[in-house]
Amino acid sequence: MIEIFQYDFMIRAFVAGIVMAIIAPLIGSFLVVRRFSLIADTLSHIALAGVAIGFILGTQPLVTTIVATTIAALLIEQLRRHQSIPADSILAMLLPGGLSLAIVLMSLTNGFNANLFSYLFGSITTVQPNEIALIVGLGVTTVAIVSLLYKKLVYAAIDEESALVSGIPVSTINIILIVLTAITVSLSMRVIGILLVGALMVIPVVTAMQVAKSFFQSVIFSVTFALFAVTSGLFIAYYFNLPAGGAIVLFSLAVFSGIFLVSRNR
Amino acid sequence: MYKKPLVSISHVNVDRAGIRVLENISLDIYKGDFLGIVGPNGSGKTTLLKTMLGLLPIASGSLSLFGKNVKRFRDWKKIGYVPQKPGAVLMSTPITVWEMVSLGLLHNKRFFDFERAKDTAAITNALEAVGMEPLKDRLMHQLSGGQQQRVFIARALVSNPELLILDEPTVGVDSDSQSKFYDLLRKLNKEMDLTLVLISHDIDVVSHEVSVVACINKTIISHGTPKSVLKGEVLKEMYGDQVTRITHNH
Repeated sequence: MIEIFQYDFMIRAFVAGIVMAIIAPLIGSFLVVRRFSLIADTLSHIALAGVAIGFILGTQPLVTTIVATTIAALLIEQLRRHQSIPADSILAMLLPGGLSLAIVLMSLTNGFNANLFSYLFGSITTVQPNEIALIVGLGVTTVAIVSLLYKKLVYAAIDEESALVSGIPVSTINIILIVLTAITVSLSMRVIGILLVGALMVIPVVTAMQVAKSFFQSVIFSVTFALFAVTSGLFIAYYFNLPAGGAIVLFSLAVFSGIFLVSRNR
Repeated sequence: MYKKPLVSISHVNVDRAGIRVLENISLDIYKGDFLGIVGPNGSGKTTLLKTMLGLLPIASGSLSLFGKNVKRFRDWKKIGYVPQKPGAVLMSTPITVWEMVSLGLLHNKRFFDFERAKDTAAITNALEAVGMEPLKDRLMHQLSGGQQQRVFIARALVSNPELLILDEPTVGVDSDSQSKFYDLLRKLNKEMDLTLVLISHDIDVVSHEVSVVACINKTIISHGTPKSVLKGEVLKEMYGDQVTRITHNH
């Protein structure tokens, strides 16, 4: 066996990383088409507040984070539907709002600051067995829901009005997508970090769109690119003692740069 | 013989943000009609269309689709909708012609949207009807504006609708493609007995292509055949004193 897989914490890191590499671009594909990519960054800042709440309550931070991001995601969707505030302004307001709440809550806790870096930039090698169960369980659920509703998610993303006239329950589809986004952001937190989570949802998708010959192909390519970036990033991080989150994002950007240059020069 | 209208709009008022945007609209659309709804910008054409499709609430009056109150209407496969040309989303999304048309079949699928043999046949037929079958694997953003509109018509036709509603479908489409586009609409209306509702600001085009015209400027100003409706006084009421209609034969 390769040395890296002799350690349980690295096996857990690879399992968590692979689950995230599948679901982050899967959800990101629909967000990028909607031009709503920044929601991942907004929710990730709210996730930090969720972590702080978890520390204050003395419970599993991942659970309180999922609750906090889901509530925020539903609020964003509600405001977006009313159309009285532009979608990008909603995100621009809630992003610092989430961060501010997190800062205030953090000041109330002792000892949280020491863990702050692991949430901001990820700490994949410290993922615990109970967290793995939650990540895998919710990851499988996310893949199943997207498979069931794939075409409805596509239709609602590219042409909401026509989808409505076709009798598709667009409001329900939008709520499902945004809740899945909140869950994905929360799960990504340990793998890649709050400040970097948006990258895994967006960069592989944009990379895939440069070369895909269909929407389905772009989804498959984006997951493939994310898997490559996550596994390569983990190997490099282990052998060169680098932060895994940063290595994964830099690999994603390297793949994007290579494919962008090749596709433009064809 | 008495014919039941496919769409029946009776004394409908519509308010948006507290302002009345449609007033006392009454209009019936019958099977086989090719209705053009014309009016200046801001006259309420698109609002009327969205109200007709149940996308906007009615303040008062009644609206029925295929004999059913619009609020209770669920048989959406009977209606095909061709939106105004979508812009930025389409240009950056790698979606093929085939994938786009297949979305028109979702009304009868609850979960698992896999294509079955009958779906494949329906998509092929719809693409053949609009002459886009040879380009089925092309990406949408590789097509011209006219070709994209044909794909949207195929998407609307794939569920085999009885009524096709088009919202300013030729905006941004060159004149040659426009001419082919209206040939296709005539064929759908005459040969496939499809009822068409076309929203346009281009009175000249509408007067040549459609069988019935409704002129709108917040309310219905005139309704009938193009020849009987598009008279000087009606145009003046819609567009003001400065408008003169010049007719010419091509």
